[in-house]
Amino acid sequence: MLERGLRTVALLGLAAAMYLASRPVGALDRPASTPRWTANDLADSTAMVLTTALMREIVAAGSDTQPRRVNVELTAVPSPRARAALGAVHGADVSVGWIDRTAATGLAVSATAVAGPSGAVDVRVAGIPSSLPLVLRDAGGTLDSVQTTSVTAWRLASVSPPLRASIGASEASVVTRVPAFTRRVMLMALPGWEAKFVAAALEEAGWHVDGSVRVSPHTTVTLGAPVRLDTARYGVVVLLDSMSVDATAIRRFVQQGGGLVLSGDALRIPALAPISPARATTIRGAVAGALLTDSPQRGLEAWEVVVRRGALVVRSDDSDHGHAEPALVAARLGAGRVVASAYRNSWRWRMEGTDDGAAEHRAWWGNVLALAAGVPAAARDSLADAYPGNAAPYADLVARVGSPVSADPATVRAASALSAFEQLQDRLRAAPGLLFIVIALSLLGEWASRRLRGNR
Amino acid sequence: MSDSMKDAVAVEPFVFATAQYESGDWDSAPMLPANVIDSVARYTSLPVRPQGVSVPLSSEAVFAYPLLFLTGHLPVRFTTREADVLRRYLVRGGLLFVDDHNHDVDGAFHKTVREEIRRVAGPLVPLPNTHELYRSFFVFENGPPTTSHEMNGWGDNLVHEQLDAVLRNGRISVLYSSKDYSSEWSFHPDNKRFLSVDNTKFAVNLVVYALTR
Amino acid sequence: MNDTRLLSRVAGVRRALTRLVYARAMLVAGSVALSAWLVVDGVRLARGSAPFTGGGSVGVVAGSALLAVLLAAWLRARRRTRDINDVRTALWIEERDTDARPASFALVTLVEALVARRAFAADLSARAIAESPLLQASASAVLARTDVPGALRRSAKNQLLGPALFVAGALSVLVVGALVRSGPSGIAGSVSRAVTGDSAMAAPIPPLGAWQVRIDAPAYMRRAPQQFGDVQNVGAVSGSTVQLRGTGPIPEQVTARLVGDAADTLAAARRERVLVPTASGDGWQVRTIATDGPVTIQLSRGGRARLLVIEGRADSIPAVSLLQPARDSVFRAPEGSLALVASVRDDIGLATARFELIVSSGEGERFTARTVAMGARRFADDRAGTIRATMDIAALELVAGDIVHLRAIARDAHPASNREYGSSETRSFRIARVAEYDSVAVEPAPPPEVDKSLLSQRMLLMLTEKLEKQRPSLERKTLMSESIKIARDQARLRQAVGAIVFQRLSGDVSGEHAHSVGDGHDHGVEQQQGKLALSGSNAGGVLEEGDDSPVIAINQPLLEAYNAMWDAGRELEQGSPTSAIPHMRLALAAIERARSAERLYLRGRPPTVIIDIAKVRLAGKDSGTTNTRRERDALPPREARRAARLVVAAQLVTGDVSAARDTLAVLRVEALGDSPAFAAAVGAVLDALGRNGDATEAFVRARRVLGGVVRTDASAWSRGVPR
Repeated sequence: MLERGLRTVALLGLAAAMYLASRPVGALDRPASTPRWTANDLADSTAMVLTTALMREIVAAGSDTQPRRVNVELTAVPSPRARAALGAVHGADVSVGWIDRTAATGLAVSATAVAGPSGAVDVRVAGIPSSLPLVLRDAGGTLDSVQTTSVTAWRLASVSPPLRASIGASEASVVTRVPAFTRRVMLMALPGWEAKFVAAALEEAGWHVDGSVRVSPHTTVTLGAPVRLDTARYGVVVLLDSMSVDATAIRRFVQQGGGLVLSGDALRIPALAPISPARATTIRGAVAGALLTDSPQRGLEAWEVVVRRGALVVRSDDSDHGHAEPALVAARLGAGRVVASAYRNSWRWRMEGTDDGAAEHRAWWGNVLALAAGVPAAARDSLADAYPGNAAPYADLVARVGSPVSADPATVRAASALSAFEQLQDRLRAAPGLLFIVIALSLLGEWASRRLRGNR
Repeated sequence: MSDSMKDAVAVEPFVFATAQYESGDWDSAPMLPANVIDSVARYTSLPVRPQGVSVPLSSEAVFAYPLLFLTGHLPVRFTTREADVLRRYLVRGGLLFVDDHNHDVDGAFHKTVREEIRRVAGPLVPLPNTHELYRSFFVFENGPPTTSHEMNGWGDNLVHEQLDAVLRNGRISVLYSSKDYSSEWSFHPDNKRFLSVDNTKFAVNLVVYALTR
Repeated sequence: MNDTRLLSRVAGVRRALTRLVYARAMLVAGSVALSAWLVVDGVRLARGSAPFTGGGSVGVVAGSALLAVLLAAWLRARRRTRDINDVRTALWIEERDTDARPASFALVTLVEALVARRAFAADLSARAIAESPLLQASASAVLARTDVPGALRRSAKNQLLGPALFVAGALSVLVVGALVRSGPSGIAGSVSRAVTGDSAMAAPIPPLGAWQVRIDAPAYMRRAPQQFGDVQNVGAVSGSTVQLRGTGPIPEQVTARLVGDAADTLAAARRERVLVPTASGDGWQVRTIATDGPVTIQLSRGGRARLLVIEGRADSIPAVSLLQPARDSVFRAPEGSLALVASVRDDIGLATARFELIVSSGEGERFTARTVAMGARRFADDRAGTIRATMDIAALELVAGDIVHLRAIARDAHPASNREYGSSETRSFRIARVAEYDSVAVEPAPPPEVDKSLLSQRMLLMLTEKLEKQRPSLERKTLMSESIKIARDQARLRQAVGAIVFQRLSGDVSGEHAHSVGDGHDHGVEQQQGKLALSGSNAGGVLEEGDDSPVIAINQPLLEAYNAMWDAGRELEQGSPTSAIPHMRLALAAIERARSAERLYLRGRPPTVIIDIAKVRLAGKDSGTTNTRRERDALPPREARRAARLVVAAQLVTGDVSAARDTLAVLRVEALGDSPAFAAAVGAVLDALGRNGDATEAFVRARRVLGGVVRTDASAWSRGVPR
């Protein structure tokens, strides 16, 4: 009986092999196919499987009379090449409708280099608020992990590209490239401690300062090698005191893309009042002892400013009066920016503050200048074109292929009609060796049993 | 424009500060500040307060005066607090000008103050006579101008060719003079009209250096 | 052979046969179970599910299924063996008797009869058969002829071989499959590793072999040498000899490199030094001296390198604190004594300590200072100690007006000649001047404006000399007018000096208003032939101190100057500058003497000279020259560089762990000076790597400590300004 059983098994295996061999290969008899690829195939950067399948579609579309439609079911956001392939197919008269089974959430990241020699990067991430944390990482590991809000922003002192932001399974990445910053600062000030320490702070931060300080009617002290104000050479002009300036030249400089910083008494220069983003009214005194606290700026004497229309208060200090006093106001003018800083004698932050005061003063001035200076347009990412690319992968997919279609019941049924039997067929076809082993073992067992039969 | 607004836009004037320390005669040159202020007003257009101040070295009020003058005859020994304040002052970018009123190389002031400076800021190195300090307003081709006390043989009977300094990031942090400018500049400024050569011009260089470098 | 022996032999054969049946049943059951497992596993493999691993619940299910099958087989076998009795056994034996052509069935018959007789003792027929001698002989012959053990063996072979082969084949398929699938993990994996040997399991042997480090402290420290095993970093006091000893061939290249901020400023060539290793015993050794800062030693051999970090630290100077006296003070009189106590501490060992006193005496421009040492004490390398002394003021020969600066200093055993010594705070003691002490209620007079006079007099002298030189070329009228001009200035100066003289003598500020002899005022000054001289009644002045009252000392030169100026003025008015010059010189000398005596050290308000800025503004004749300010150097972007190196190390961890560890060790040592928090975080990363654990968390923390990630407000302005 055992032998009979084994023989039956062997015969069944042979029959199955015959059957499989006789079945035609290919899904061409399924007109409304819904390919479903695994997450690995979708994330594969070479997109081999996808491209092959899509090429088949395109070839078949060439020989069909009626317009074809491919419905794809995506379980993960495809890799950049896969997205590009889908986009190409979509543009080649084969309409691609895709069913969103990705469980991905919209996510976009942008990174801009901070203007200046610091090499820092400003990163903003836009996402959909959810309970999953937003994780920011770069080549060296995780940088930060926060609760997901609609917009989150960071200032990173240094980044090892690529920079990746992820919420759950969705990930957006961007390759940052920090261009070398070669433009200089023009400093216009009267001689005094403020001019000295601001120039010191800027130079220590890596900027190159040009300017001249008039010490007597016949004598000036020259900083650097000042030339005519030009956006090719200078990124920012910094004015620290109320003095006579060439307002037309400065205005032209800003409109062509340069930056202007009006700090302290420079807010009172009448010739620059039309372009200043804030109007200085009275002086508010310093809070005694505040230089040694957590908010040292309150210990600096400052102007109370009235913000002009169209300008934005970037930073304000809490005051004792209840409302916040604007400390840093910015506005655009033409292609450039004008920044107003209300502090009159910021050098006291460095000399009379805490031991970190010098570093904080330096960082403050670096930030003010970064706010005003323009960043030269960096070379774009090589894969980028008009589409968002990896910085916002879901949006990129939608941009190329269109919004996802709702899951059509007919197509869904057709999809699941790929029954277990057909799945088994596919598997066996994929692994023919299995059948061979089954047949061989059963024949072998049958023979062994026969041989040993007589020995009982 | 109202008066208050006009005043408000005035630039902060330069204030000459003399360091007051515990261990010796810190105010042995009381006329010097006025003389220096007078010179600064004579030659430059820098706003300057008409009167100098003296600031205790042990208080953090020194931080409000980024240029500080120190002189004396007697030995100088900083207390722990003074040394701490002075160290922080110099790290933050202040400039200390020390002058030996004794004009005496082996003297008590010279040895002790140099030792104290070494403990607080580092070793004093000779300042080359081509340093930008000697060109920061007037040009002194031969380095620091000689004083009459040097030439008259007071103290050590030496003419010191150079000043010494502690440099920090290329800038002078402590300037030390054995040339007795404290005596040289201790006269009433009105008497300048009698001098054919104003010997206080170097003070102007120092003040301009401190304010612009 | 008697009956019982016969029966027992047959029974033995029966038992053997029974055992065979059971065995076969077990084997068949096992083979069935194994083949079922194989089929199921194959179907799962075909369907693409994960293969069975050695897992828990699956194993339990499979085990219980196997047991059930075996039990079923056992029961079935038992049922079959019930049929096996002695008679059938005998028959079986008979069948194995190959010699007898016709089967004699003798044994069977005999056994049957014996069994029946045993069962039923009263069975006579059975007894008769059993006792038949012929039957017994035949049966014995059969037994003797038959090779029973051989027959049993053959039977066993036939029955068991098949299933046994099947079971063996199935087991081997399973085992091989498990081995192939499970790979490095699981029981099969560990078994295979145990057999084939696994590199990961052995302790990581460093590429250069383990070394030994020995530190010999400098001789003056008198410390025993320290031995360390295979360490990656070691701390040593500056000047110590660090010796590395290893096995194997001599390393090809040994480089010592300075690291840290101090080294950054040096040129690359000066930062590196090549050391020469020497052969020692069956290995090698290399030596270097530790310095003040961190140094790395890199050894390379055969393309692999290893790093040793030496954290050198300087021998710090002793810490001294002056316990007594606790405060500065002023002594009324130069007598008394003061107890001096100071405590001294050093990190390694003290050599000497003493009190140092600087006594300054003198006044004005003339100060003298002398240094006195007391309380000196030698230490025998103690780490802490106290020095005591008594300061006897009289023994120091102090006088009023002297100032004593006291401090304690200590030196450690470091042999350098210019070695700094540790010092304590300074206390100053003054011996009060009598007047000063008494005149608490009197505001001390400010130094007089003698300097003004000095310069003016010098000026006048110069002008007169110039005039004198020009005299041959000038006409009389001009000479007169110039001379009179100078005379007028001289008179003014004389009045100023006179004002001081009067003020000092009489306390009267009024100056030289019209005083004449006999006007009733006690001027203290008498006019003698137009000149003034101190009246004898004023030998004791307002301020009296000893014999030579300073008043007189001050005023005598000033008086002389006054008189000389009077003479000079007279000469000038008469138009003879030549004769005026000696008087002017006398006046100048006198004023200088007065001036030098004037330099009293008075703690008091300096004269308030307020400059009239508006009047003086830009009144100077000279103007400066435009000059250029030298640019400041940018501070090195340390944080960014360190972050980049940390990232490089993080990426190296996945590939070459030892290179990553070296990078991190150097990074840690460089950061020790200025950012200890970051150095500690990097140390944590090194610890995590050393334990072969997961260092990702530690890397994240180290990066965070560097502070490069700051959250900003996401405002409408696209660039944030972090708080």
